[in-house]
Amino acid sequence: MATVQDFTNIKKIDGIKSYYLVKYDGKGLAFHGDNADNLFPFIAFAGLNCDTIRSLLGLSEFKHMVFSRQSQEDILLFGFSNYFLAVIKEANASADDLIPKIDDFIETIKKSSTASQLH
Amino acid sequence: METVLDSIKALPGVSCVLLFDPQFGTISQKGGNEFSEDNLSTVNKTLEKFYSWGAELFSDIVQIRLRFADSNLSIRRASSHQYMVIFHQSLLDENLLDLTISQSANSRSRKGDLSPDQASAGTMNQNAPTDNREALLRSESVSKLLSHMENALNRVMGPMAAIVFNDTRQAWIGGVDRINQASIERLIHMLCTEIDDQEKIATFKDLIAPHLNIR
Repeated sequence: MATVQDFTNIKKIDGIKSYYLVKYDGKGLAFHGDNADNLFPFIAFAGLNCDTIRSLLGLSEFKHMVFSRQSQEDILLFGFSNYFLAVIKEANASADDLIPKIDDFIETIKKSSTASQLH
Repeated sequence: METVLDSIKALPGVSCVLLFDPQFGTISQKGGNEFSEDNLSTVNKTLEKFYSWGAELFSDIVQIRLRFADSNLSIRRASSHQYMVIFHQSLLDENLLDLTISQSANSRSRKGDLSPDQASAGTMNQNAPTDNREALLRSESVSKLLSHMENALNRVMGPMAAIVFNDTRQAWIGGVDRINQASIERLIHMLCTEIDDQEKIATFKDLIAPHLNIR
């Protein structure tokens, strides 16, 4: 059974500077990085609205969202079950390389959790 | 801007590109007829909220991309009040997109220095009322200064700078009868309004400061 604590392992992926795990209602569950109190509601807002956009345009499954920044410290946002995971990458890391690694990480967590709930 | 949108729409995999203003709605749209106007309007407003809220938290956001299983959306600023949204099926080569925007904007600028008739003829009408302004722009010192300004704008705004600079320059030259300190300051003020970010404005001014000795 997966726990919130399991998410702290995401820091082991090379190229990740910060991470924020948020429930769909904006409640922060875990983080490593700055400004978490302001980022939690923003992450939930963005994640929930991705599904609204998907529905409005008749698109298929939402995969991820990328906020590209001049500093190259891009923000990557993923959704799964009732949660959103946002990651800020290191400036010298490649978003294209990180995304499949984070997808795999989330899949592993999902497989070991029950009833879509983290404990 | 129509030329820029047409060029982007012609890129492989791009199904729709549009320009919108949060206050006035969609300004121009190429493709995307399969989406209803209301739904597209809601999506545009939502994307703009992503952008504006995100920019409050991170001042250096240049683009937002959404990836779905079968398609992609991206939004970037086209000017201080307008956004460009692109719908594309396959992953879009960002370098190709940036080069397309820059090339289209620069091509438009070269034509924009002439009236449509002059551009098609490829000659300058010596009696045209804009001649004096165009001659001012072509003087070596002014030409170099404008080039420095465009480069500085590119540093703080990215590829969209080419479009913003050309639009602003056209608006500015329309109200100028001589190039002097006051008219240059007016152009700088207009560009700073387009940048619309205090930190970036400061960087822009620092970058152009060494080149501001116009005589």
